[in-house]
Amino acid sequence: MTPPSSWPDAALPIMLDASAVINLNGSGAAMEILSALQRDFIVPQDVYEELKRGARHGRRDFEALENLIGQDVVRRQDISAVGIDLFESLTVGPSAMTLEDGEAATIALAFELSGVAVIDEDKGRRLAQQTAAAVSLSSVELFCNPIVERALASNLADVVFCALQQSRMQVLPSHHAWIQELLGPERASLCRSLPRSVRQP
Amino acid sequence: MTAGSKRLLRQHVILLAHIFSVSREALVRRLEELKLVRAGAWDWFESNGRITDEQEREVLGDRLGPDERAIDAQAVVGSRLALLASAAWRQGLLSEGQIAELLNVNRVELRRILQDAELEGSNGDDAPELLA
Repeated sequence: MTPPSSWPDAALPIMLDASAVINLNGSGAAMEILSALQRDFIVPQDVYEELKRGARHGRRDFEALENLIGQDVVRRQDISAVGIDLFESLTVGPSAMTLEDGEAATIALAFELSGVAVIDEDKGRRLAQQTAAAVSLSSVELFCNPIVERALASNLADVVFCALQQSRMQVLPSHHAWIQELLGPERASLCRSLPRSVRQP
Repeated sequence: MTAGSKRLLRQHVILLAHIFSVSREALVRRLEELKLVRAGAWDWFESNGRITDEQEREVLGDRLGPDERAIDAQAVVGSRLALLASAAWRQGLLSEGQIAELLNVNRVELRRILQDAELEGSNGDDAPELLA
C-alpha cells in the first residue's frame, strides 16, 4: 500500500524537529535512513540545545545526533534575521498560540530556507500552515519514503517497530493503514503510541 | 479530575472509583443519580467494550499496591496532572515541547505519560457526556 506523502522537491532542505530526531534514533537506523534519502537535513540550533539539555537527564539522543552531524548526514544551523520575526511570533504570546523554542525554530528555519519542517505535533503543523505556509512532513514519512523502503527492505518493519516502541513515535491518521499493513496486528497491538482503533482493529 | 474533558472517559471512572474505593459500576451509577452524566452511562460502557481489569492496570499501574497515595506522590507526574496535560495536548492548547518543558520531563517520558492517559484514544469521542 502506498501511503499519502507530501515529499517536496529534492533540492529543498529538510528541518528536523527534536521529535523527529528522537524517533529516528529510536528506530536504530537513523544513519541508514538519512543516508539513503540524500537530502540536506538540518537541525536548528534550538533543537540541538534542547537535545543537549536532555543528555543531562540521561537521554542518548544528543550523542546520537552528534554522531549524525559527525558523519555529515545532518548539519545544524541557527535562524538568522530572516526567520527571527517568525520565531518570535511563534514563541511570544499566549501558550495556546505559541510553541516551545525548538518547535518554533524548526518552522522559522523552514520558512527562512524555503524548506520543509519535519514535525509531528498537531499544533506545530497547524501553526506552521497558518503562520508561514511552511510545508511539513511527519516523522513516519521519513520511514515510508520509497527510497527508504528499498534501502531497508525486509528490515523496515523492525525499524518502524523500534521507533514506535523505543520513542513512542506518533503516527498521523493518514498513515495508520500503512503502519497496520507493515507491522501486522500482533506487533501493532504492542505499540502504545498507536490509537486503540489501530492496535485492536 | 475531569477538567478539560467534555466526556466521562474510562480513565476518569477508573481513577475516581479507585480514589473513593468503590466499584467502577457503583461510581458511574452514582454519577447518573447525581445527574453529572446522562442515565445509561454505565450501560454505554458495558455495551462498548466494557471497562476491563487490564485497562485498570494500565491506568493505575503501581498504584494498585497497598500505599497508592505514597506511590502516586513519588511518580514523576501524578495521575491527575497527567490527565490535565493530556487534555491540554489533545485539544491543541499546548504542544509536546511546551508540556515537556513545563513538567521538566524528556519527550519520550512525556509521550509515555500522555499516551497512558489517552487510554480511550480516538474511541473516547463517543464516551458519555459530562453534564457538569
